[in-house]
Amino acid sequence: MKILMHLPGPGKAAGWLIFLVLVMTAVAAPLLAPRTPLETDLDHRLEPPSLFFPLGTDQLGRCVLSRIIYGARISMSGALTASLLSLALGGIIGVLAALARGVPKFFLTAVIDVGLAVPGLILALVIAGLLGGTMASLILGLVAANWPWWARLIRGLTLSAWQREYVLAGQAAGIKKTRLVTHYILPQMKAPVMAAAALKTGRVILAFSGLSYLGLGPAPPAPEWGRMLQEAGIYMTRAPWLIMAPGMAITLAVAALNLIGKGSKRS
Amino acid sequence: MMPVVTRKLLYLTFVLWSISLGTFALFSLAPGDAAQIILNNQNETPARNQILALREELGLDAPWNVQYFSWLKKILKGDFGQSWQTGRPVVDEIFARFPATLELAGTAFAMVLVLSVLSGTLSAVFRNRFVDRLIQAATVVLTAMPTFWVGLLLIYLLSLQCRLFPIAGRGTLAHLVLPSATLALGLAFFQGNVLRAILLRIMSMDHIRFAFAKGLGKKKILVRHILPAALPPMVTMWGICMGQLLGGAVIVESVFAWPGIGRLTVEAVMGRDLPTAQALVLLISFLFVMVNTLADFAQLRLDPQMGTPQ
Repeated sequence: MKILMHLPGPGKAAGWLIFLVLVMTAVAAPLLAPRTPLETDLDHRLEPPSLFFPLGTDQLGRCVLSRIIYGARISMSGALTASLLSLALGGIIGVLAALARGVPKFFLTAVIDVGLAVPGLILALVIAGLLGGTMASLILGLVAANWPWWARLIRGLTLSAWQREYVLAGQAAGIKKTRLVTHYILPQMKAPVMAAAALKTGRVILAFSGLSYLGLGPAPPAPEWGRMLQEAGIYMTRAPWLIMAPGMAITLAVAALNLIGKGSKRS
Repeated sequence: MMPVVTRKLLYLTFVLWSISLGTFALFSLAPGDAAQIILNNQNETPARNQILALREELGLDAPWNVQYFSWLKKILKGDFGQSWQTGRPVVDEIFARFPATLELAGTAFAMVLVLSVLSGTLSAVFRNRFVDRLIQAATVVLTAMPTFWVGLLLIYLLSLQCRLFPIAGRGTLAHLVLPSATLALGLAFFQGNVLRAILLRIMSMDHIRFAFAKGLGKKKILVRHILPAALPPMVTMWGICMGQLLGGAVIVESVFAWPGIGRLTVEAVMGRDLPTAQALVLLISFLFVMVNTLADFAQLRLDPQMGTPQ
């Protein structure tokens, strides 16, 4: 029975499976895609799914399947980068805010509260928009929008860990604060942070593709899923099947992360 | 020791002031010269002396602290400058668009409330049974669907195929259905899931187990004891939900061509209309902070334990 407790539940295992398949798809995109994502074929525009074009073609005759497969590279890597950077930044500020005293503590707490006060998607939109539509500016905007959330979570986890007996014992033994943080406090945060990271990365994928849908982020012809949906929306009356694949790709990626997050929370 | 309310209000003022400073800094650091953008928008090829004159007029050469305080003084008087796109006062632009967003977010919020209380309560009452599993599975999928895709699917199915609702725009009640449903769907199930967890925690508490042991009816325990106990934490969640609705409105309003402040934000950012975008960030953040503070105060009233200083 004890071994069973450590095995991931069916939901979590399915989540990891889908997530790994998506990561492999992104890595092996050139091997899997039947064509290149940018190759246009003006004789075959807005075609329904067929043997040659399994998911049909878009308004420029590009193979939608190939664009979805290559799109995994953009959306997944962009969202993962933004998510990890905000975790790192929020983690550092959160730990500092928990352990600081006096004026620095007030200052750090206020910075986190101000960050939380601006709705994330709007901050990301403004930053990414002002810096111009590139992948880097979109990632920067998402990091700016998401680090306060992480800072609040990790400040809370640090504060509660600081009261635990083994940390108090460490303090009594005269261990330095930095070592207490790296060797005593951070390791026992692993489980809640993993669960939160999976759920949060899913939200970041939604924000990333949503802002791309609005016209930010990697510029066309890059095969970004959100941007593909925006283009498909324009041709919805003539080629309604085009709105299916990119939406399903995003949903699959986020649902996988939801399952991982939920499963990690339970265990 | 100050009372909690005074302390909170003082801190609120400080946070609001910090937001104004942060917004000012963000837009001052934005690349591009304001004078040049304004003159370019007027369809001129501006001469160098024109740009220099406008820079002088806008006070762009003054030190940042002078610029900040003159800007702050203006916005405290309600003057957010003129839109670089239309030339009209930013305040007018925003207030022309605000009712549309209020209507959309308000309807969506009502939908979220009803759906989340329904799904969360059902899930908790029938824990680990079929209904719960079904709602849980729906939650995983529905919270994973991007709102703009939900919007496109609804437009295709209900507007283009069934011709039940108009495709886009604002006007009749029928116009309101699809955008608000799109905005509400994912959030409702997310909130329902949070409510489920809260209810399950309450159900395992001693006073509820005592009520069962005493032989009270299940319905009575649910309505009289369990649901009221879930109210304080849910009030906080509803405050957060308002922020998510405002963020979500940015995308949903763009999908449905809904003339609200979400779409105005996108237009302002895309058109590099900095005064409008700046005013919107400030306004939306203020609104969000106010709603959350109200939720905090409501919680203070609902849960007396919250008011005691630690």
